Amino acid sequence: MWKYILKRLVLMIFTLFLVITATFFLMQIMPGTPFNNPKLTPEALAQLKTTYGLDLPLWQQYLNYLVGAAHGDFGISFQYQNQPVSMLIGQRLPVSAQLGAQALVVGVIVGLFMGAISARNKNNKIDGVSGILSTLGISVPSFILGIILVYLFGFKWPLFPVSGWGTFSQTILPTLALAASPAAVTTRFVRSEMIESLGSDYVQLAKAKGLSDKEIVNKHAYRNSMIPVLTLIGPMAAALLTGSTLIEQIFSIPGIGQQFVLSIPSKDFPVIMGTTIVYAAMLMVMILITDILTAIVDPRVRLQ
Amino acid sequence: MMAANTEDFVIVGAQSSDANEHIAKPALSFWQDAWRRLKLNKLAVISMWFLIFIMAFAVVSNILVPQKAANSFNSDKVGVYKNLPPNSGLPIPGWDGKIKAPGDNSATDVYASQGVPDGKKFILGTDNIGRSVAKRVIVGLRISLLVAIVATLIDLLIGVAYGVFSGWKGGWIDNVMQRIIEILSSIPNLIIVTMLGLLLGSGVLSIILAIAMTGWLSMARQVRNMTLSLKERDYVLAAKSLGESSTKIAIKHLIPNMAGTIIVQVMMTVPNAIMFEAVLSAINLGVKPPTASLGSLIADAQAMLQFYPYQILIPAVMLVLISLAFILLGDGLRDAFDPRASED
Repeated sequence: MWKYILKRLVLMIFTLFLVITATFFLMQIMPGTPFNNPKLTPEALAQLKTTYGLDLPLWQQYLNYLVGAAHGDFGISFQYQNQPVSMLIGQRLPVSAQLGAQALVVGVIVGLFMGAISARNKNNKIDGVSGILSTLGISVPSFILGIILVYLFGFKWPLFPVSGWGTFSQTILPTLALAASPAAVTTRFVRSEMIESLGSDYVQLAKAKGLSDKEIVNKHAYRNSMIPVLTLIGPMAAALLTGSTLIEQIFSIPGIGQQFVLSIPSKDFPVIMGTTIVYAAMLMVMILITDILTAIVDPRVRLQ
Repeated sequence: MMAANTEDFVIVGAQSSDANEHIAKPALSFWQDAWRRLKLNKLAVISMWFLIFIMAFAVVSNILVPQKAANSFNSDKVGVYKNLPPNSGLPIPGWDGKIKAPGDNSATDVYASQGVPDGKKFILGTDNIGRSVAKRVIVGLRISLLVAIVATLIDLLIGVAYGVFSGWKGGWIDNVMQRIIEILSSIPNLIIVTMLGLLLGSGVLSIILAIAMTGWLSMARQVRNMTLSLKERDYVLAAKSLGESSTKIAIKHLIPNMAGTIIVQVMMTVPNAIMFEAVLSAINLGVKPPTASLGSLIADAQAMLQFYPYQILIPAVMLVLISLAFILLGDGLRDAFDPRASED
């Protein structure tokens, strides 16, 4: 087990190293930097380049960046001068993490309920309705759902605030918009897992020894269908990352997604690079946690 | 021992070869069988016809609504034609050229107040510089479909080739190739798409490439797993011992046998590509204006959502319907190809 975790950690660090290297060199060949302004005098340009360490040879810039990144230092923002990227990201990370966690928890809980209910009502109306809802949840991208929610509950029936962050009511609409997709994925998954469990030998045995339907479902079928849901958390986290950037923009939430989107038109490369690395690290940690949890909970998963 | 008197028995025909070998149903090939099962799934069939219709429409619309007609606007008359609500010419509330301003209960006839000449109607309204939303959506639909389908085809080519090669070679080559997939898939797609978008600049081709770069991973993984199991089959062994080359075995035996999985995977890739196109547009890395895509139409109309929701409604509905149709058809095909799954 420990060997497995160690191996994964090493692979993760190696991947992060590759990501940092790739982003660094990609940024070197990106067209257009904020220093292309023709109004800049040569002296001012040289001054700027020294500030950002761009006058050093490339390999030295790369080493500096690598060492800095290992310490969580991603340089200074082009756009907001004097602001280290790590500070910009650090301020915004908790907001994005809270939004993502809320959406994940709401989505998974709703999905667990809906999946179990549809499996127990297989092929009747309740299953049908939940099937329609979960298919819609998968095919409506979260930013479109976000726009719909803004229109309906922000403008048409102004029940919730549609922008900003801080109070609980401000988190409701963005959380709902983001939670729909994980809820739908979980519903579909739990439903098919549960139908499989209900037809399995151990459920037959439980029936044969005279357990009530309720006990069979709660004690045997449901528990065994919940384990594989863990494997979904990794991919869902990836989807949440994508979704949250646009959702943060739509709802004006000061998270790292919004920062990322704002940095693109202004070509604020240090911020883009820093965000990229943080995103990749977050996703990798989520996938690692998912895999370890799955291995702990389900001994059938063989660790190689 | 009593000898049985054969005359006491009557032959009922249980042994007759005719009765034994009569086949009640015609023999169906894999594809015929899948098609028969798919036809039972109404939603999948409706989705299939919808998609065929949309794609045919997108092709034909090249003649009916050229790109120029949708992009051009009369700069002198922007004030007259801008932000006109949908007008069907019939007294249907919400579709009669009248719109309610927020906080106002009476609808105003915008066509009259902006001085639009009589008889001029925009069935889906106009945007903020007076271009017909209907035309913009048709052109946008075309671009979005083009982006999604071409990106998916690239994914298909890379994914299948990579997967078959990796699975067929096995050993350290497979190991290295799988690690590469693992590394690439631990980078969020959004990041890869954004980076490539930044690098290649905006434009249809660069969007296609950016989206294609992320989509092939899951295809490659699935094809590789299928290859691992299929290459142990007897027919592959037979082909090998007959001296068939590896390339030929892959093309003639492996790929046809995993066609079902591949088709289902393609159906799931297209909606993803459509969504990523929209995401790119929303973060200013999409198609260059005045070109429109469903994503750019949604992104552009979002600023005025409170006042002109109709401008966002149509492209958003189109985008969702197309994704939905692909997903439903994909689900239907998966069940049709794998009868065990549909027994649930």
